[in-house]
Amino acid sequence: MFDWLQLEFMQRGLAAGLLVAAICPVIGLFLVLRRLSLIGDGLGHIAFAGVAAGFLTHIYPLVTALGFTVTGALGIEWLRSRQKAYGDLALAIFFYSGIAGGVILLNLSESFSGAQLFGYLFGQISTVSITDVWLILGLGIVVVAIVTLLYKELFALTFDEATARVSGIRVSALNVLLAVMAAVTVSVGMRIVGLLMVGALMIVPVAAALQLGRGFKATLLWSVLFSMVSLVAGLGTSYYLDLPPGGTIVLLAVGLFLLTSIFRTIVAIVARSDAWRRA
Amino acid sequence: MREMSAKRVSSVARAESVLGVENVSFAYEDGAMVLDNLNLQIAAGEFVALVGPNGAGKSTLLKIMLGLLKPQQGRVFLFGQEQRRFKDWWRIGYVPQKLEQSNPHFPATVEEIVMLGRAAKIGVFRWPRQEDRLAVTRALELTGIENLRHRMIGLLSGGQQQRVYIARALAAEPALLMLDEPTAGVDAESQARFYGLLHNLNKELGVALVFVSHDIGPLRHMLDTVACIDRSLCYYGPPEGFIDAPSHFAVATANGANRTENRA
Repeated sequence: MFDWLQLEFMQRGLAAGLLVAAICPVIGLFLVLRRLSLIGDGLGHIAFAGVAAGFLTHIYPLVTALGFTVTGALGIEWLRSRQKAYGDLALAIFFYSGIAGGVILLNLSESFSGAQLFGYLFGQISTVSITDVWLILGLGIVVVAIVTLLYKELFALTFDEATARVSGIRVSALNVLLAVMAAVTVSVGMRIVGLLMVGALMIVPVAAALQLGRGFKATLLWSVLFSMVSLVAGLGTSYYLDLPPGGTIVLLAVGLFLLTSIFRTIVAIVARSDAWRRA
Repeated sequence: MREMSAKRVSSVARAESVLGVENVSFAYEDGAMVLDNLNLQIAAGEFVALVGPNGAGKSTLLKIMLGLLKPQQGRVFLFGQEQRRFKDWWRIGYVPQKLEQSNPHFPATVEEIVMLGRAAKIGVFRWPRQEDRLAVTRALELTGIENLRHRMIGLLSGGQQQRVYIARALAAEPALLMLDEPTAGVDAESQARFYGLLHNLNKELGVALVFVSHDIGPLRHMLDTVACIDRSLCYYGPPEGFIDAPSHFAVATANGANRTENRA
């Protein structure tokens, strides 16, 4: 059952994938709870322009995508903090600019294959190189370290921004940091599940963990667990059934979400009938 | 009675100032002047109610005191230090108006929320230690919600949530507690218990309290000072004097009554 783990490219994919699976829902939890669930998806659109720029300039697309998404995230955060009305409209304009710019940049460059582009759009775990693993490892560890060191500050900011500010937390700096971490997460996650689905890995495991109705730290840990389970099971399944790994991983995460939702409904029904019987 | 409380206020005024507002003016972007050259000093251990009609700038003043809004003119001092240089934010507890967190499914336990109140005291890059866990337990006991420790915040009643927010504000053992209309939407029984808690905090632990409210009726016998805000200070002194001035009192209570009606 685990013979696919003997393959070197699968080992590389698994190593990079597990780290991506760990950081995606961690950043995703902060975004979901601040009602910014679609930022991951939008940053994926901006990453598209970054990948196209990489093809055009012959720079490694992961690096150019990183540059584009970080810049985009800073722009989005700047708009978000400045204006309240039509906040999502400003975001949408950013995202469509990403797609439109990407298409034009692709048209200008001739040095890429359709398969290459497809890999960035939907993930291409089998071509994860040792350079990718190191890059993902380095960036992933930075993200994990920042979230660990600033856990209570990020939690306070997510729960109630005004009170966080009053307790001396530098809210605007933290918002910028969170935006940059979201951009980094999207860029490295893109390599595993593709830029069109990386947003899903950031929010679907979180949605599943939220169904359990647990505390903040518990929800964080459950969402990481769900994400990692989806990744390992998705990779294995895709190998045996010859399915695209990115899509398999995301659909398995959605499956876990459905399971936890059903679990939650059953718990609620049992509790209600219990209360009814006692009354 | 009146003489006695006047004496109490004057002795308080000589004590260390925990909060000073000097010549503060504030206008919103549309140009409407909300506060006009306001001055206010609050001493250690003093219990002050900020009252005034709706839209008179009470909450704006509170936000300026807390550094959430910047006044166009004037300065704010916290514990004798100018606000922008002030670092010891843990010395100030803040209880926001109810429903700051509007998501009833926010995944957090009572204990986790109360621990957030220690964030500034624990310090950036650090995790809570044993002393922090003990302080959280004390804050939970003080507010009588020890039994709710592991419950989810969103599943609690309004009165229980209010006590969680007070416990959060108390977790860092502050010397000054600022409360923004904390009794809005809380049932009468919880309110009574809440006033008792404030009384204990003020008299036994010596915490200075700034209480923004429409209606100071139930608080009257606990207060040191009433500060009525209507763009500028329209009354400042002991509560008895405020109640004796019918025009001010009528304004404040009329608005309080309106609000209650609107809610019902």
